[in-house]
Amino acid sequence: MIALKQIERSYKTGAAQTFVLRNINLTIREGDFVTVMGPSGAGKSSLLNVLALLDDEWRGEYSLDGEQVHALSRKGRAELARRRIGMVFQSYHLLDDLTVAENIDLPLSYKNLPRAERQAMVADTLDRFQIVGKKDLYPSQLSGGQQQLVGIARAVIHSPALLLADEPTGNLHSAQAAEIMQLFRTLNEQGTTIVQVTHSELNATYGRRILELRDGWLTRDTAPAQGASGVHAS
Amino acid sequence: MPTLAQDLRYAARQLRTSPGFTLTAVLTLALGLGATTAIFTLVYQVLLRSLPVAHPEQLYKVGKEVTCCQMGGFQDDWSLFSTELYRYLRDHTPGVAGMAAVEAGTVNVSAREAGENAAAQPLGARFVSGNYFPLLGVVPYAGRLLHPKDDHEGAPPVLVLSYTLWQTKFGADPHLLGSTLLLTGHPFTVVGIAAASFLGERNQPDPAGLWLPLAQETALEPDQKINDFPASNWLDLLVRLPNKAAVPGAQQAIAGELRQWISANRGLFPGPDVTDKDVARQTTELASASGGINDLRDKYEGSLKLLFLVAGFVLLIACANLANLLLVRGVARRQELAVRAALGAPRGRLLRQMLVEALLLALLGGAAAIAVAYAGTRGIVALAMPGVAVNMINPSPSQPVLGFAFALSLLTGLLFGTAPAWVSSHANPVEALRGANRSTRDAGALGQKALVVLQAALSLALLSTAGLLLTSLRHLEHQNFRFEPEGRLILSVDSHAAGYSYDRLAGLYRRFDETFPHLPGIENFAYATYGPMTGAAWATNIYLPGVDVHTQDNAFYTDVSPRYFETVGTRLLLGRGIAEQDTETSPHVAVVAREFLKGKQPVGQHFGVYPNRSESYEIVGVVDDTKYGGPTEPPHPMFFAPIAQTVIYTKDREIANEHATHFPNALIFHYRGDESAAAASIRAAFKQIDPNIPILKMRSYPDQLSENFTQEKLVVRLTTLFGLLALLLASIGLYGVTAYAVARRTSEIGIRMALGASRVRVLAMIVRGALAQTLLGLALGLPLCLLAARLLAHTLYQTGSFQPLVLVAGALLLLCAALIAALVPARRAASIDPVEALRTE
Repeated sequence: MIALKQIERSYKTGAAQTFVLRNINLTIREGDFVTVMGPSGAGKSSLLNVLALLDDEWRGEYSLDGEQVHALSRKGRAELARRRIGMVFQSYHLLDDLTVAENIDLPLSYKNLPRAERQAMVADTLDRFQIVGKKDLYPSQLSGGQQQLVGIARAVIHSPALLLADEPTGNLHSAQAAEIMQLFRTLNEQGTTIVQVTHSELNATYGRRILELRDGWLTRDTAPAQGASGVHAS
Repeated sequence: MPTLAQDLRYAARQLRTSPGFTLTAVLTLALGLGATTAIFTLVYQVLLRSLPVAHPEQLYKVGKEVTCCQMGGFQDDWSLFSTELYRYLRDHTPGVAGMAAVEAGTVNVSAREAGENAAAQPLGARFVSGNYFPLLGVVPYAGRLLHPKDDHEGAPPVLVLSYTLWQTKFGADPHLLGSTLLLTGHPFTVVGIAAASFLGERNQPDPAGLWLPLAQETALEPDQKINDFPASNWLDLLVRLPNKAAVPGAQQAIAGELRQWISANRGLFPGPDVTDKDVARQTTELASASGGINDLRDKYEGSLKLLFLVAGFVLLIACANLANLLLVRGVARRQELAVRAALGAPRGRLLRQMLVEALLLALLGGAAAIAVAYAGTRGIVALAMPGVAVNMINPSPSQPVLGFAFALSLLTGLLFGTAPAWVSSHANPVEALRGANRSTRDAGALGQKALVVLQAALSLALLSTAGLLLTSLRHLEHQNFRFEPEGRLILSVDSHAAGYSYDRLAGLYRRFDETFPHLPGIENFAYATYGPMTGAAWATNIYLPGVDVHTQDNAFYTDVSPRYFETVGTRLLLGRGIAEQDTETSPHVAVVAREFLKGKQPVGQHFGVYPNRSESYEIVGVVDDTKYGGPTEPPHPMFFAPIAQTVIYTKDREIANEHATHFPNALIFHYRGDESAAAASIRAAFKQIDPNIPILKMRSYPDQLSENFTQEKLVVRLTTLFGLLALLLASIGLYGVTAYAVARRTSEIGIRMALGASRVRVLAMIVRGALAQTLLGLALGLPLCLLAARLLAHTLYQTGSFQPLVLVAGALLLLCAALIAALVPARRAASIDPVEALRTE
């Protein structure tokens, strides 16, 4: 599903160039549940941003579902992301001024879907995540776990093939974290490819493959080596 | 479309959930848009509005200039016409669908219902040709309007009332129609009331509300009979043309006929023999009269354009302020926009959403602005036209004004919303999602500072403009008018309206002389055709014996009673003033102002006002150059003749003119002690003399003088108000940017303080940053000030366009305001607890 080849990402700091991703070569198959780990500053979030097509300024080759992302225009990448990717954030990033239902509807509102169809999809999702009773509440009226539940519902409402999660339980206590991780597992079992960034060893156990980054290098991949995938440590 | 509705809904919610921001923004907009809309209301009412008549776009005035009230001789570019000339042009000009005449001035009459004992009320009337109403296409509200048959010698005297006059002066009495009104003792039948919206063809305050046929002028003004004199030009002419293309042809035809008539009537023109060259020089032009004959346009066009420009600048400053607010808000909402982008929102959608918010805000501001504009227009009209009972300027927002406010609101929304929306929609979502504390870069910071600089520059330009106009007004008000207004009262009366003829004036003078000087508290009393600075004077050519008639001068003149110069406080420089010895039977004398016969020894000289009468007056004294014309004009050559003496002429027109100057329109009192006591005793005494003579105005002379500056005062007041508004907005803008910068730099300030920076240093750092923006604004504003001053130079009175003091005062005011605006957030910065700040980090 995903193939990264020699991905590099750097920032200009004064006269020098600081690399946050170095020579990343990686393949992720459809249905995978990948956990990206590593210490702070290792490049985990940077990798996730590249995968999410939020970041444009990397070098290398990136193929998503057969689409050559590196050859796409900015608009093309945004369109691809809209169709194929869902994003879950550590800080939930629900919009405070929108209700639960409106937050969930947000990705659909950018897809030019008919209103009735959108309403039906929102109703289904609310039902699926068992938050129908909270649809008119605002984020500030929800607990952290409930907010993240809404965040996940919002990320999957348009049935993305790839779900990216950046520290999804970072702000939750353990019981809430377990519930969320269980939800991820269920989504994965239903066919969604998931890539999560986490510091938590426990969370990593919900996935089937672990990638480890250090100083921008991919230093470990628990997946069995095959084809072009695998670790290219220097 | 559904997504647009959604954007609108979200925008409304955003504004509702930030009441502080919304209120500030709406107030700023209400002031900026309100000021502009108020001035536009006046611009529309004065310059753009059409007359409420049929096809106003087809109406043209013959003659570009709007002049008043009667004129003889050549005009070169003709704009006033005699009745005979009007009839000639009407009947001889081909291609003109119709031509009507209307008196350029107003005649005051005292009106009383026949058979009623109530006191007569003074009303303004205007003589019009019989085809006036048919040409304009005005319909009656009740009864009928005048028609050509009413405008013939021997026709029954009839009149038409304006609806407003009928309502305000006659209590909307339905029985008035068909009844007889006595106008200055002459009976007129009220045949109709004009349509409610029609107040006449002249856009002027307190328009005359009685329309009488031209033919009745002779009966109503037997001493004037101006209607009968072919050389007395007193009428404005209106023509109706089918379309614009017909204008050049009609203009040429009228000008040709005008020359034809002059050529055939050369004897009517005073002065030396009229040559073919003189005739060939005479012409006229057609000017659009779709908005009527616009006195207000003539008077206020320049001021309105200036005020519109100034209000536009205030709005620009308001826009800069709002753009700043939105930039700050955009930064605060970066995360929300980043989330939207991460969830698939295209940039176009984000841009649209932000713009929808800006436009909604602008429309809310626009709605509030309409209320501000209404109140503002009312205030401006009250200041500009004090004491006006019937005003043609309606401050209520009309459809065009509402349309203007709506369009301006949208434009304003786009102006202040586009840049912040663009900046916000182009924020890097990755940066934003990392969290606020991990990024110190602020895409809008430079823009915010640039906007503050712009505001400071524009504010300085407005403040210095206000300062220049204020300096000019002070020079205008405090110039030496060469008379003493303090301690004087002036009574404007119209004895003609009470039915006085020239023959009865001597008796009236006698009663004045027997009564007023003996009133308690009255030190001096005099009467004259006109007093100084009352906005009126007669003008005439001057002929000296033995001097070539081609080199004649002209002068203003007024007839005055004995002790006139002592009463008004004009200094006698040479010889004597007008005294009791100057009676009807004594030799005809005159006193002249210094400007008269400049460079010659005037006392003992003779002069006259007609070429064959160059020895009519002997000059017996010289007085100081008291101003009688406009306050910005230099003193005009002037002579004063005794009101008791009448030069005997043989020609009817000359006799009529001579008699007309003997009507005492101004009674001037030099009093001691309490003004109101003096005024009360004067009023009581005047009533004793003749209760039927209407007192048009009674006021202190300083008030009379001050009336000359009403417009200048208004412009200065509004420009100052707009300048201060600009200053306030700029200060709020600077405060907002500084406060926001302090909030963003909390951790940095904490670190600085933890590393040893004192609170004073932190305070100085913040204030320095804010003042740097202001100083840059001042530097950029300076050329703007100089440019504005150059553009204004022609309107300034004895004030050079470069006024360093004004610039320094404006700059200091701006710096003080900036200092205050910066000190509040700077104090907050200096009070930051480093431990707390670093914990937040």
